[in-house]
Amino acid sequence: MMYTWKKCFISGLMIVIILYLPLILLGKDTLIYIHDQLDGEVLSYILQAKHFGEKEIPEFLGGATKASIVIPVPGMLILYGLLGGGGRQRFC
Amino acid sequence: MLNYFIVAVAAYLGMFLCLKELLNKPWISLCTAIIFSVLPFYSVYGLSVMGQPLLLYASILLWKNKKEKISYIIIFLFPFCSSLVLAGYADVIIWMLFCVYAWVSKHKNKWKFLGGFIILLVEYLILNYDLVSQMLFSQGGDFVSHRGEWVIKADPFLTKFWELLEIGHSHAASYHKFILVVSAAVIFFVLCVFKSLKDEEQRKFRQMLMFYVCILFIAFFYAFWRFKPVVDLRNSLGGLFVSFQVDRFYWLNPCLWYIIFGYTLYFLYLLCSNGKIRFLKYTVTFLVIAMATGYVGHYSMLKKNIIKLFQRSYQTQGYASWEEFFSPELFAEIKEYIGRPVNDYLVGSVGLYPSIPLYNGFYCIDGYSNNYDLKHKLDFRKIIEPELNKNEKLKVYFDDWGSRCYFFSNEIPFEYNINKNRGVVLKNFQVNTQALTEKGCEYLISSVEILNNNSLKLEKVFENKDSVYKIFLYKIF
Repeated sequence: MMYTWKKCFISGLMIVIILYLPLILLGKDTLIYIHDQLDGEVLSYILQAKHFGEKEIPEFLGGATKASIVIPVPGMLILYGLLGGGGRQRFC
Repeated sequence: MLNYFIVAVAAYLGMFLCLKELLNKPWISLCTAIIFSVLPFYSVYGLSVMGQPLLLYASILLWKNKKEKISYIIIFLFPFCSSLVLAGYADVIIWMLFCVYAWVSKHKNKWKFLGGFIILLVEYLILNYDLVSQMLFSQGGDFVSHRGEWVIKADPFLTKFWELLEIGHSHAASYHKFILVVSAAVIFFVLCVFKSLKDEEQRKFRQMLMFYVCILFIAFFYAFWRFKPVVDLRNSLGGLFVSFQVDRFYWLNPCLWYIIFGYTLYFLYLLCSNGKIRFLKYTVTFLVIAMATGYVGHYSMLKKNIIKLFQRSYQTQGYASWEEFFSPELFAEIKEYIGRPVNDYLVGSVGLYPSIPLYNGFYCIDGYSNNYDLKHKLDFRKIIEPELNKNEKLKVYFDDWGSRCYFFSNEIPFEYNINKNRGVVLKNFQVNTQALTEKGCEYLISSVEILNNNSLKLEKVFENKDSVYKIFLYKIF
């Protein structure tokens, strides 16, 4: 039984990896859903990472406070902060 | 890309392990987990939707007193990878209810279960400290959020209830129509033969119904929160009651639906294994799984990217690649043309998401924010007022909500991503240029040509073969 579980688990994992492989192959050409991603949250991460520790985001809404951008996932802010422009494109 | 990859793998792991604990059938875990991981999810929300099975797995382990190290690791990592306001609060509330239940029923693992809850709660609070303190305590200073002006619209109760039950919600896409149909049929047949089932199977069936009750309750609550009397009450109470969408429990729905799908497969196989229809058991289960794969695969972002892989010029509505969308080279040209430091002036975007100039380093007057200064909203309203007056829908959209602080146009309402091939032209676009200049906005970056406006001077048209936009740069004077 244990053996079947392992076999199933690994073959499934391989299938998911193969299915998502086109994304890695396409890299920065991957098609991403625009709504709330490219038109919104991606910028939230980038701007919050850029102005980390500051009080204002001067380029946003003619100069807005940090509270005006709420980032959804804290862990991703860290990643966006660590990655440069090219890395962000590939990460997204 | 990488993020999609990580989320998909986490979704697979979670669903696989969860169903392993619940049903203990390898093939069900395998098929359901793969289909679940192919759903079109939003990668920017991390594990908020797709990581739910993983968290559920952790809670099942704690409940059963198994592998507690793994479950504590999952609980510890989860708040980093998910959102408190969108889904996390729902997890916290549900976990709290189970804690109460564990305590009342004197469950032997009540302490461990409570421990998991405390880790989850405390971590969410620390990671989202700014938000929590802003919500609970007064904001301090003279900052007044535009949220204070929100007016929520009521919707018919039954319509919303069915909508969530039947279609779901775009942020937490589950494409579960087939599950709804097949599982309803399976439940009916199982009820017919319920008495003849073994204890173990009866228990599993009760579990399945419990997940169903959760879904019904979430849909009920979703509709209730939008029900006319409730909305009126919320609008009059104001504050958190208006701005906080407590009904976002539906972010858990994809997880629940696919767990139900697992149970459905389990009972389908069981039903077909009895009596004369035994020969059907492989055919029927295979057909259901194939149908599910085809259905979900059709809507998946994977399908679009596989086509893209073989046909590089492929484009599809609602999707874009990073480079296409932000067109950094084109905007670098614009910046160079203007030739002044970017912090010297402000720009506005017409027919274009403001996130695009923003990404390219421009200082923008417009943008999307769910919590910004009310004063800015009112100032901005003066600027776009002429267009709002032409279109009642846009007016209500901005006045009652206004988180999208965009340059709307009556001729292209709700469109902010206009491709150069469409050749859209604005014949009558009005904007209060005096108010614009007062705010320091000097240029409008437009993806469409504006023909009528005398106070806008066309500076230059920018175009290159890589970008999907043709940009008209207007100077305001």
